[in-house]
Amino acid sequence: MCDHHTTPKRRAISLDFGRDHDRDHAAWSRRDFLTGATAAAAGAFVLGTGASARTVRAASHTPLLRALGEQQTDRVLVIIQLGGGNDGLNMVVPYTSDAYYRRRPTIGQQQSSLMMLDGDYGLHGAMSSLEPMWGEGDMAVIHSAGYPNHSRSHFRSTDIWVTASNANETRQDGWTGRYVDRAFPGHVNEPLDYPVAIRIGGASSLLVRGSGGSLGMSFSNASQFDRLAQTGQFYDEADVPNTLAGEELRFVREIYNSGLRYRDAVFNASQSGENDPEAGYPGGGLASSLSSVARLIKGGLPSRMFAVSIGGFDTHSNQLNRQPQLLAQIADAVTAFYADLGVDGSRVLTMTFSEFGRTISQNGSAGTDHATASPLLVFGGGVGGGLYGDGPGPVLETLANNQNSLPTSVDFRRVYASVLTEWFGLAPEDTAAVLGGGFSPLAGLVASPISVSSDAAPEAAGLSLGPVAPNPIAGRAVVPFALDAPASVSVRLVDMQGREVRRIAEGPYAAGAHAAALDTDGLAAGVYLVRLEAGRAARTVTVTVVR
Amino acid sequence: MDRRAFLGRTRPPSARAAAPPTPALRTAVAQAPAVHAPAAHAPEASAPAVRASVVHAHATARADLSPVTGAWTQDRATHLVRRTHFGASRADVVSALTRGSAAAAVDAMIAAATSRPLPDEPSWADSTTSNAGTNIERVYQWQRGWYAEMIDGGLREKMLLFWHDHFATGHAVYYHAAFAVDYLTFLRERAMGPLRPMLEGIGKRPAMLRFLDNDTNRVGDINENYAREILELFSMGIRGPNGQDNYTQQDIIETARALTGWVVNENRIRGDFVASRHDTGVKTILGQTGAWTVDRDRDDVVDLIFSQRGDAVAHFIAGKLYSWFVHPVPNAGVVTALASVLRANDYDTSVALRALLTSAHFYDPAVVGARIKAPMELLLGLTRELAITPSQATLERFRVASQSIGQEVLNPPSVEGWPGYDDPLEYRAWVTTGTIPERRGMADDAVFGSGVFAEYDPIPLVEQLSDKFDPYRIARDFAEHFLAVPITEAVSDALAEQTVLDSVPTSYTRAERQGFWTEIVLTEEAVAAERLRNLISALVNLPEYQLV
Repeated sequence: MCDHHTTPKRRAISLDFGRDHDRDHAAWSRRDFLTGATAAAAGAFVLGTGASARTVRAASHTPLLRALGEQQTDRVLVIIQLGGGNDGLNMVVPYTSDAYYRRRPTIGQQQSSLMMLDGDYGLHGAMSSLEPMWGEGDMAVIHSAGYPNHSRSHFRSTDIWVTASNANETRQDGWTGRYVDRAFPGHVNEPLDYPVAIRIGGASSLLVRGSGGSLGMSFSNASQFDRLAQTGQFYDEADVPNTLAGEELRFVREIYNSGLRYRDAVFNASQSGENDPEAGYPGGGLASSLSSVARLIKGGLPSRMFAVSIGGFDTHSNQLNRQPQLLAQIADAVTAFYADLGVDGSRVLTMTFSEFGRTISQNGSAGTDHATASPLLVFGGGVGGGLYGDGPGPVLETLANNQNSLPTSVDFRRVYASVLTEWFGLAPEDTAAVLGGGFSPLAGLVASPISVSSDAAPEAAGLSLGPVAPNPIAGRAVVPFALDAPASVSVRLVDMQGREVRRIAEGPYAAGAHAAALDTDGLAAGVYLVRLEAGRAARTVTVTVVR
Repeated sequence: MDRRAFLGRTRPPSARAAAPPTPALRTAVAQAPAVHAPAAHAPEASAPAVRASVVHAHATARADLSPVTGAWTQDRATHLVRRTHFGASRADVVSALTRGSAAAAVDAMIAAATSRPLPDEPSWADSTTSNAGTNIERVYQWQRGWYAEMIDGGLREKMLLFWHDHFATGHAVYYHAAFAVDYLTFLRERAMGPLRPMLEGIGKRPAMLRFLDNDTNRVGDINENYAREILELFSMGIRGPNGQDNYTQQDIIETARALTGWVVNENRIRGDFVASRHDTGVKTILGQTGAWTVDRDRDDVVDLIFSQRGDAVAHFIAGKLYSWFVHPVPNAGVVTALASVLRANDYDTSVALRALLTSAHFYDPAVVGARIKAPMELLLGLTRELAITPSQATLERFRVASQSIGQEVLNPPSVEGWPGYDDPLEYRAWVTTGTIPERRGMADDAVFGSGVFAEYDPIPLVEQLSDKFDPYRIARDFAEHFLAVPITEAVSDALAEQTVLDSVPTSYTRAERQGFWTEIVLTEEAVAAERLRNLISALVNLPEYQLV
């Protein structure tokens, strides 16, 4: 409803620098350079030493402090875009519907081949590797997601899904970007040192765009990510022609690489994160992308969102030759992804979407054509497993043969509302601002919602932290904290970019007063945050490290 | 060693002008044309192995001036325009291509540059002001005017910037905006011609008299600053092609004596010769003894420079032309051949340029795309590549940006000009982690219409350059238009898929993709335009775009 005054331009490719954020605000200023380059280079260049640069930066970081205060979560959203328009009726099959089999005489999926979801619906047999997740309650199916006046154009409908706009409205910022604008109010002026969103492969670029420009990093494919993970190079410094021009190109690529804002964060996370060799990823681009995402999440990258994609769903003909393999790739890749994530899986929510579903009746080429609503899938330990919305079975029986598309059962923006409000803990009014209002979360879809009020960080009555002594800290310090009740506690030292630089205490603690030791040896001088988290409660105090 | 030193040097131009730089650095610069030395320590960058391959790669290009043969192709025409203009506009490429040969295209460019009328001088060109605020606004106005002239002025303005870099002066030292107009107009009128009139006249312009202190040089109290630079930087360099020193310290002192007597006339915006300040005694310069004088009628110093060190002068100027138009690390064979052309043709700029720009060496694929764009080529090139007519606000943005990324015209970092053009040790200094975000940002702003730029409509460019219904061909044609270093078809295809074909199903055949794109072009022109802007943004954000 509101927020439509901003229609920023898409800058699909220049995401890696993340420079869009700050440039528009202070064109050509020195500060530009400070935020546009790596912190180390900036410190050396502008202020002489890294330590003093850090101090200066810290002093101007109140928006980030606020963001840290408001955002209590390490939760992650992974979006899998199914490009081409997935035929939902053959993915979530209404096997008790006569109309389904009547209108799909040769491509309809027989009940015996399905993975049963309930008494009326079954998942395509190619996706049966999801049975354990479904059984654990780690998978949800949203029936017939869509929107009014559904567009059947690939690009229009994709834009509607990723911008969360109405069918008659054109926006140029993604819903995920608007979320970041709300959740990190300081990010435009004080960009983070890590990418808030990462896109691997051909997912829509709008998913990683906010009002201020890019939110993160885009990799055109998993192998580009692998090069960064292995060599630290976003641009290939080795593959240049053996000419003078090649030499200069190599040099420019070196400079580009060393100037990438997010390179260090992504490279470091990819170095410390390891894929589980037993995870069982299948072949294919989606699995490669998801394994890269798992590596980054396990490596501690604080990015909130990852967008990946799988294409090929535009099955106008001979659908049975194509769609089952794609569905199997999704099922097998997601299963492996969560096996790989292990304990981290509880903080990772994965959702699929596709721009539209397909016609109810098969066409003359044993395929289906563009239509409207289709189901989407949600995965993860934080998901309330089960089926949501009204399945297509009953309505199929009422539709005439010339009515070839399914009505929407669940507006897709309600799924987004669940993600924003309950998964990420965005205040309801902020969620309304992002989505345009009027979209309530789907009750139960997020099993463990965060509730955060809009103007105050959650504070636990029975929690105290500090004072840290001594402060300023020249070497070691004691961090006192107290709990009213036993709790699983984490005490961390966080720098002004929100990165953990020391783990001070971790694990279950009894009620009462405790003290933990903090060793600042090796840290740059500057202001840091000591952050105590116990369940959903948290306390933060600032400390100053001196050398 | 440290590229930050370069940016540091852009700030106080007077420092280098007033105090002679360290001998080591000066020697390196002066030797540049004579030695075929690789960039020994490109900062932050390359290992010795990399350096070695520069020499190797360089050696593959033909080391003489034999004329280019073979077809006159769009690639070659585009390369010629990129190197001789500030970026390649489509119109200039088409014009060069339709001439049918390198020689015809170069001749046409030289003819246009020679006959181009001078731009109007500002109303205040004949007066100075003591109001500092008024003066600096005038300087800025003249800088903006030059940026506009560079966009339209083709080879003449490129050569004017060449001579400005060569006969460097800076307004921060000589101060008066009117001096800047006088200085630039003097060079602009002569930029395509022989060296001698420039060398004779430049020292008598108020800007140069002030910049190198010759207005304080008088009998009995000599100042050798200008005398040193007319030998070392403006004509012959420290050492000649034979490896011998071209002059001694005594030559500089004696030359300074011959140059005594000149003062600045601030009211008339000119240099005046005051006989009473002139040293009329006998001097020995470059081995020749006489009562050498530089007054309004005679220029014995320039006579001696040409008569005694003609080979060194030819070699020095040839090296500089090579570093500007081919690569900052000179190729000894080509420089020697070019020096012969200069020597045989009265040191005429146009004749030398013609020989260089029609040589096989100039079009060797090994040197195409091998120069890092100077800021002017980057900033102004983009407007020419996009066919944007810049507003005054845009020109002002260029002016501010040119300071920020290291090339404020009329205010070079020192009397040596900008090291990015011809300093074999520091030529990569244009590109740093500090300048790259700004170099990239300007390009994006121009494409997306941010700040002073209007939103760019890419449809006319597509219609000129390509088939607007074929997304892959558009990416390929745009890549050729914007990038001097070719990218593979796989890369341009991928860029098409990430931009104009964003969200197209991957299962689509090529024909289906073309249909998808055609549908957008025909039904959603605003979306098509935005997707094309994304493509252009992707291209100009590639490292390849930094090269020319």
